[in-house]
Amino acid sequence: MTEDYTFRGLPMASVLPGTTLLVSGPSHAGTREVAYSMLAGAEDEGVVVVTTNRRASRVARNFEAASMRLDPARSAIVSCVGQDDRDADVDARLAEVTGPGDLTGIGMRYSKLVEELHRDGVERVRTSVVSVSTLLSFSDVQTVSRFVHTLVGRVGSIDGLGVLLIDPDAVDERVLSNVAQFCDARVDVRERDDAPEMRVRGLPGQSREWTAVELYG
Amino acid sequence: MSDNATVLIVDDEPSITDLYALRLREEYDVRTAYGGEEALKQIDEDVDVVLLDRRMPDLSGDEVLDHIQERGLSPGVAMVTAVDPDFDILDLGFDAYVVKPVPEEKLKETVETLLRRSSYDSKLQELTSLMSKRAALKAEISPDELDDNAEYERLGERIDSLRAELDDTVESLDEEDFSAAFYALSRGQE
Repeated sequence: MTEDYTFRGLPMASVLPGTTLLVSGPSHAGTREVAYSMLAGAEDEGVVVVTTNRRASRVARNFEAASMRLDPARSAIVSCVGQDDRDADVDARLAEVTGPGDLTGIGMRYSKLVEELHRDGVERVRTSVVSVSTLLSFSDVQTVSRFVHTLVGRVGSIDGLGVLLIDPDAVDERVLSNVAQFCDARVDVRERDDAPEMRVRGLPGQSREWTAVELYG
Repeated sequence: MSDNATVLIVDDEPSITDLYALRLREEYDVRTAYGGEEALKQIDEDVDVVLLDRRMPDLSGDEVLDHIQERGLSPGVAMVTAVDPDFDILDLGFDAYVVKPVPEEKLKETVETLLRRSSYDSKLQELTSLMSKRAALKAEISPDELDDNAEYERLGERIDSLRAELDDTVESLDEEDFSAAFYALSRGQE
């Protein structure tokens, strides 16, 4: 039995291995930063980030901003921004797909990277997709939903942690609720007085009240 | 009438076809074809799995596969080959390959694997389509009316039971099954 995943510096309790959270909030509210903070774990944990619309180098900067260090021994990035990322100089294993519409490619590369990390002894892996909103603008809702279901299943099967980012302003409420139903819980982020607040819905033992987040404090 | 899955076995050597049929008959509804042309007559939407010999004199396994896909059918397909292929099988449109001669255990295991995967894919497709339908209904009808809407209620029940079935299926999937599931996302799309 593996231990719970804990969150450094965030107002939320630890979650069981195999949990996937949908992090929902507008891009200006610090939602992306909250999502990245959720990827910060113990030194021996691995991380795989699927970046749909930002280059690997930007992912690296997001990591740095969240006081995390990329390390090829335990970090991996699946880039959907095309060939531009082929020679990206980042301290992570890098895989690329032709674009955010290539859900098969994303899934296969992701699976392979997770297998490689496991083979290299990294047992606990945090998985992130930044962001599902982009996927939804390249494929229909049903296909993206199937992708999310399978990804959530994969995260569950490896006792990992899943953090999927979505921008509610960019997608229809019905679409958001469909995607949310495949995740175990939802983390909402909003902006109050120039600072982000968050709440967790759908998991026992978590605060459902809006709570201020001190990012990277 | 039976709830058994249907397996179509295609090989131009009748002795091989009949042997596989004998081994699978207990658990599945089995159809046999002694060639590619005959396979096209036997295949329809009831067939869940096809064991397809790659080298046949009239129509090759690859050609049969093309026809199957053109007709919009999506059974799980295991290509039976004489040699271990050194290519990425998923790119070729079939789901597994087995090398001749196929031992009994391997034969059964292959059929089971393909059934598990296609059951996951088809249930998931049905689930996402029902969820979209339900969301559309919800947008059209006022909350009060929804409570009395029989269609909405039926949808909800079907969605709940599908989700429960899928949760069980997911737990039985292995690494390769997940890859196959991701692969299936690009199938049936333009």
